[in-house]
Amino acid sequence: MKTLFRFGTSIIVAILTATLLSNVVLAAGPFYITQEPLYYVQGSSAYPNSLPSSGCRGGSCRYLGQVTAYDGIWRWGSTTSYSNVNQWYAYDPKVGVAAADYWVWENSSYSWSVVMDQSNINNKERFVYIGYSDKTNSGEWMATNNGCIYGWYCGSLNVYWDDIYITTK
Amino acid sequence: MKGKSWIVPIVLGLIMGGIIFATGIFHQVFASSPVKANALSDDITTTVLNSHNKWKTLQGDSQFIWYGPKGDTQTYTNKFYLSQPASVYVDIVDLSQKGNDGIWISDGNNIYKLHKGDKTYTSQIFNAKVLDLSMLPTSSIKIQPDFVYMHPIASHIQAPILEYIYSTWFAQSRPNDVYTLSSEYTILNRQAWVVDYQTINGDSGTAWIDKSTGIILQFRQLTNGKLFLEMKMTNLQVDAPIDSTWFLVPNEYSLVNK
Repeated sequence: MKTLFRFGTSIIVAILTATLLSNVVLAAGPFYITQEPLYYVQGSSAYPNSLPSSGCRGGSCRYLGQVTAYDGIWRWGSTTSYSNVNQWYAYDPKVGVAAADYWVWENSSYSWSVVMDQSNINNKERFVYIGYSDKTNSGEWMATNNGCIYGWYCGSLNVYWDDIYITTK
Repeated sequence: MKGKSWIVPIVLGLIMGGIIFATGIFHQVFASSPVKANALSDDITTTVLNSHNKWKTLQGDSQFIWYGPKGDTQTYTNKFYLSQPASVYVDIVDLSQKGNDGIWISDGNNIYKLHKGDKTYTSQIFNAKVLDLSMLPTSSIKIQPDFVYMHPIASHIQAPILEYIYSTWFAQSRPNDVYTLSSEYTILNRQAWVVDYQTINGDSGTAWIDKSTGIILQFRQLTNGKLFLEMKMTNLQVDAPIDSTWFLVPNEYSLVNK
């Protein structure tokens, strides 16, 4: 009987410990970040338009119409916003229709970009993995722009800025 | 029971709890499992998720027809040569002649974007991310409902055909997506599963998936009930020798800063 009680105690303590540790880790991050506000990087200074829509995360997102060469580059967060970022994700809203270029700036001499197809049938209403930061930096950011991407439809489709999601090192 | 006799089971419980947390067993056992209605079969899921491991070289041609919001269409061809792990050549031709075309080349050291109009190219360092497959789910239990992971080559090299060659995204379903294996078909002398796909957000599609490689040979997508995309491979050779000169930037192109 005593053995049974001891065994049961161990099991209960084990479950409580695992639960507590999980909650502690979640409290330290990762982070969901809204597109409000966006910060200008280069190109056209026309601020992306607001779209109130249930198809966007949180009920709204922003957009610019496509152009053949990128026009407006706008980033999430100021240059001092994000430090020691590990992973970057971008939310693809339900209304997504265009492929978009996502640019991650890790420092003044190192940046990289990937394409995220906002029209992809399985990307919508999910966070799409963009990549990870190699460097340890205090001023990282991610941006997208409204330029057409070779081979995808090009013709004034909307390119969307919705929420992003980051983990830290 | 004496006070000290409780210390041992409590300490054992703390140790077990730490081990359970560290190994991630806790989340696998207690995290809510998505309820899958009409899920993709394990056989097809596993093949598609691991598609990139089922071929060494690919070469072929493909066609994309995009249906615009105003009833217009844009047609592109993508001619491709690929050699694992990361040698890539894709020549995108815009048959609608809007100039939205170019060439992508990766030689494993750099990724080059060639602009046909002025015969210039830009260069991006081929970094470790492009070969990092650690985030890709390899089985259905590793698929996360709120996240999707594209193959890094399909992300870093911006050519549409790579999304259908590196098709892992197709099997990363959400809990209420509906997949139906409607038939099997022969395309380009290859046996294919024909899978119809209906999402909770209103998009639908049909994928013709090569049974031996998991590559999507043909794809049709409707968005909000309207035809959005028709993709088909028109020529495909798997594991045939490829001349390595395909992965070199042609001499007539000049490097410019990005």
